[in-house]
Amino acid sequence: MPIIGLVLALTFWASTQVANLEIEVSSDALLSKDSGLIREYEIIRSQFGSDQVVGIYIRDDSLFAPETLRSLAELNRKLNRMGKIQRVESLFSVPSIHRSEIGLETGPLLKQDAIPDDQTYLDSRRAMALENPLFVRRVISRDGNATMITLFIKERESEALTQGQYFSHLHQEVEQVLEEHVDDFDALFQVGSPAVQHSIAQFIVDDQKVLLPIAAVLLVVLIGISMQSIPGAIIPILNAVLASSLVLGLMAGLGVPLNMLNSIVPAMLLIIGATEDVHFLSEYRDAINEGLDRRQAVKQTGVKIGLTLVLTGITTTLGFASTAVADLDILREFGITAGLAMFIRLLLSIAFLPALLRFIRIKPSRKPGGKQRATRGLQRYSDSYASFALNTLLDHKVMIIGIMAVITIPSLFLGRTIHVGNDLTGFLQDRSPIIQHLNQAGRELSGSKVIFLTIHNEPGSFKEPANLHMLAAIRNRLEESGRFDSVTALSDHISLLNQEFKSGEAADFQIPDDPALIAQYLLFLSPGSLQPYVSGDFGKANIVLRSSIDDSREFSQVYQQIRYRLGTGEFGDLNFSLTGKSILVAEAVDEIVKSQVASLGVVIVMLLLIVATLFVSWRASLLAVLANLFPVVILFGVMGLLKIPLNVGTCMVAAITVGIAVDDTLHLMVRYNRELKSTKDELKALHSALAAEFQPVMTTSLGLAIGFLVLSFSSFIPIRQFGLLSAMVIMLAVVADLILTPVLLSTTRLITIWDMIGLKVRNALLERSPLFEGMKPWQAKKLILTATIQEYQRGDYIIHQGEEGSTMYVVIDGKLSVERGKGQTRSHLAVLTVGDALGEVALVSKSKRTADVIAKTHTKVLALDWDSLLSLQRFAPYLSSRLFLNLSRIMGDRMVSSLGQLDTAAPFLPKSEESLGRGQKNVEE
Amino acid sequence: MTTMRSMRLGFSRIAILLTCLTPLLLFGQEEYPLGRESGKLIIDRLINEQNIQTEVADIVLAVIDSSGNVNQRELLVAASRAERGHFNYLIRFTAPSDIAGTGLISREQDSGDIEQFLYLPALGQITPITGDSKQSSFMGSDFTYEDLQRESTQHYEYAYVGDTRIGNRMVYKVVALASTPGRKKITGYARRILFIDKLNLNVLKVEFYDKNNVHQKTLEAFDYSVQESNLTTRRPQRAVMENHIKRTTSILTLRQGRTNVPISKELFVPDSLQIWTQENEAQIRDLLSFTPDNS
Repeated sequence: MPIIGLVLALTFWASTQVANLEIEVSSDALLSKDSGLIREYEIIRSQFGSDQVVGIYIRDDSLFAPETLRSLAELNRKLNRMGKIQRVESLFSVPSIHRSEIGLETGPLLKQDAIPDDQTYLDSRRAMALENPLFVRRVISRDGNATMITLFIKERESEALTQGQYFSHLHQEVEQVLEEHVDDFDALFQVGSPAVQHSIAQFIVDDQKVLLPIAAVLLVVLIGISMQSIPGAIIPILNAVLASSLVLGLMAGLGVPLNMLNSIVPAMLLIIGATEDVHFLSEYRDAINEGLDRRQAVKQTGVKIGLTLVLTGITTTLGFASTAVADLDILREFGITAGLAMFIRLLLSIAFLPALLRFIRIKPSRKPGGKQRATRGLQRYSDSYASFALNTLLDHKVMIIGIMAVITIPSLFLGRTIHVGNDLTGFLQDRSPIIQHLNQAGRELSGSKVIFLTIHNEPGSFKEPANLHMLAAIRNRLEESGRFDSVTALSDHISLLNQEFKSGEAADFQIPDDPALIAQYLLFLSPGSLQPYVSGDFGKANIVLRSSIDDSREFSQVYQQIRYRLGTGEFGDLNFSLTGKSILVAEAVDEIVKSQVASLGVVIVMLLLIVATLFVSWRASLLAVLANLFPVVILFGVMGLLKIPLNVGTCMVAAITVGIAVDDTLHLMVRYNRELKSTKDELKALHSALAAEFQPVMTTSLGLAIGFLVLSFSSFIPIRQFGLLSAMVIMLAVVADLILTPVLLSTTRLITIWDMIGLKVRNALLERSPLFEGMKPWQAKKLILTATIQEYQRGDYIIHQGEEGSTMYVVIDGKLSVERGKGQTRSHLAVLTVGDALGEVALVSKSKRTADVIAKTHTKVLALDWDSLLSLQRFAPYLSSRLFLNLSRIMGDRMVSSLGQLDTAAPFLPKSEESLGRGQKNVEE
Repeated sequence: MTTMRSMRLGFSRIAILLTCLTPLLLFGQEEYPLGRESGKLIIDRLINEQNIQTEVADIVLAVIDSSGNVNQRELLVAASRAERGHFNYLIRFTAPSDIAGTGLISREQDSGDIEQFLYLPALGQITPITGDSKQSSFMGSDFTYEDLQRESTQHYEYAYVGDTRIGNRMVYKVVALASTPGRKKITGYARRILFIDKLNLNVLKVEFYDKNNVHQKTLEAFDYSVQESNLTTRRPQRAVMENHIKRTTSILTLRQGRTNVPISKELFVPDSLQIWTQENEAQIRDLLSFTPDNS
């Protein structure tokens, strides 16, 4: 009751915090923090101004009609007043220069305070704009019916707002202005980072309204069918909901915002948490079926699967938390949030759920003495599969492993072709409104992705004709590549001045060869107008490239091509830098690859450690990890084949699904270990384990796969890809667990650390028995657990006089009596206690037993025959070599003792088989 | 008795002295009620004080960008009052060498527009500049042509809004707003605030607010002195325009200047830009050292 009260109180607190949860969507979350590229970007940005823009797209068939222009002017005026804007490019601000009959006309193309009614005049302005290369695709479309007002965003001056909040406020301010003019034009919308981020934030909210209900309904149905119980279906959902509330409340309390990735955590809690809780509920119901009351049923369930549940909870938590090793904020926040969520769920499952079950009744699934038909049916399938596995798979181990390798190897090659993507717009589908707007604006005007290509030289260099010619050549080459919507450089301004000052003809659109003329042209331009294109000392020239490439791989290719082209020496020995927020995001793809490697590496290492500790065997840990790496390799192969990129969504699949899929492997291994203790036979233990675990593995994996498939309803492409691929990996993991794991398990014998801790070995055994000489206590325990232990009750015969034996024994616990003869001739020869060995010679040759060995008390003996020695050699090679050495010493001591007895009157008996056998028996005894 | 008479006489002398001195002390420091009429009065006084017919100046213009890079230019400026009170300006760059010889003639028009002719020696031709140039940058600096124009109560409304202190000077604070439709159309500012020295009507500071009412620029004037040729006309030796938006600064330093000197009208004819000779430059430099005595 106190636990329930505490959980409910915490949940109540958490829900009061949820209202404070912020949504933070920002491309900064996709950046690598400690990067030379970022430092370079900040330097260039401080010199040449902001590269972050909001584009206001306006289209109207009568754009240059007086009324339309007046509305445009009013819109321009309002946008200019916004405090977060550094500068504005529009028809009313970009300086125009044009040679007319009366002279050189300068100033903005249109005056926003004075739009005349003269349509002829306005048409002439339109024509003038379309002839000006600095206007076309920057502020006016080629058809003259669309224009863009570009707002260059000021850097936020205060840290009180995050970048996402700053952009969000800006977006809202712009939207408020646009709403007042939406009826004035045929089309009016904003594009740019704030608009993209706003759309994503909206999708995050919408996703929750879709994903959570679908996940909940699916799980209720699945679990309800499996459990045949409504409370049994609702309890896991309730657990997940409580965990979600606590996590979201903690996030709000700690100021961790919701973003594109960690917004799926509530859905993941439902999916994973519910399927995990099914294990507990199934065992609980089985206990109820046995007639136990609720309290006893909870206790028994805890004893049976408590350890396994804790372990699987830890591995799942680890799989998610491993993402936090990434350098990208978005991945790190997801790792922390999801890891915390899974941990809280684990705590609730081990504390809250049992407490709840003391009060909520789950009806037994069968009448006393009866079994459900469905359960019987499923059990038949389980048994059939277990038999198939043993009869077919284990007989063709090499072939099975070979087939797995054949499937895996091509995947390794295909995996190398995976491309990496990192772009905010890549989160959205092509049909989403913001993407369509971006495409339209990019097609007709300029994209909102800005790149700065800065050429560094000595002060004053870019007043020199030669350097300006070079700049123009680079600029022209970039424009010819067709990859950019607009390319603008200082050379364009000077060429235009030259054209208009001289003749107004396009033939004069070029850099003059007279440096004095260039200096005189520059007098014409105000300092601010050139700030984006050249440094104040004319030592650095900045080419501003605008693009609407939304694929980070393509963007990265363009970036690399530019670097390559400029580095070939075609334009001389250049010192240049290429930067921009879009480049930073695209180049952060390396971080995605690193985080993929790091998170998977962390998961693998931690799993190896955990499983090795659990089963006291590196072999066992390798087995568990290898079986679960198989689906991961296939995953990469499929991604390479289907050209699915590695992005912030898909890079999480491997680590997370390994963390989840290994749960089934652990269940199987723990069950195998338990069966092995009772059957003492690997094959029988394997059969029982498979038969017992087949149904739960199939059920939970199917539930998980279906749950992950729910994510395919997400608005975000990386999340959809994450869901689909995770579902695929989970099902492949089932194949691995049911085919590969049994094959690998058959080659090993498992013990657990709990077995080690639980086994009490007396010091006398270790001190007295030469078999354990040179072994540490834990090594001796491991040997004992790995070998065959036989237990006898008082009065049981371990050895019968006259029977053929091939086994030696060491007393681990209890007392044995060695007796010989029958009836009145029966004599008591010896008492054997802890550490005493018997029958060593029988180990190396068959011989008839010469005496009875009877248990005087409850006794445990270590039984060793040649086959078990060979098995030991496989399971524990180091220990078996120590054992062989000790056995050799024992044999040697026997021989020395026997030789010592030769110094007697009749040292040698007549040579006959019988006498040889008797002689050997004498030596033995 | 003698002492009291002496004291009475002493007091009388003091009284006379104070009476004579008082007007001098109060000269130029008139007090006005707040409001538009007062603002106009102040500006009218200022315009009258600055009433000149011609002016020549040898100026250094330094433009400092946001990174601290300095571009320095030297120029000769000549101004002459023409018909209907309009002014004609001639600007001729003398340094650095790559822009030496660049010339600009600006002629004020009735409409409020400015007719301009630009000569680039490297191009060798005179180009008329049309369009709205008032808001254009003056020779790549933070000054616009509008900034350099004289105050005009015909085109602007002035409101006296109070007093304040700049350094140890008490100043009138006067807000200037474009008042005519024509001027409203071409001005680049929503308002300007002038800080005028109460004592001598020197404009010490001007704040410029753009059409969005953002404080865009501040002009400060330093080291006012009289011109030798005109003891009532004062000019600042240094004027600093700071652009708060672009974070650039332009400094006009007056090396030498004269007002009301005889300037040939031929200098303001566009063709003169192309046929500029050393004699023309010499003429202006001579005028810079002009005094009424050696006229």
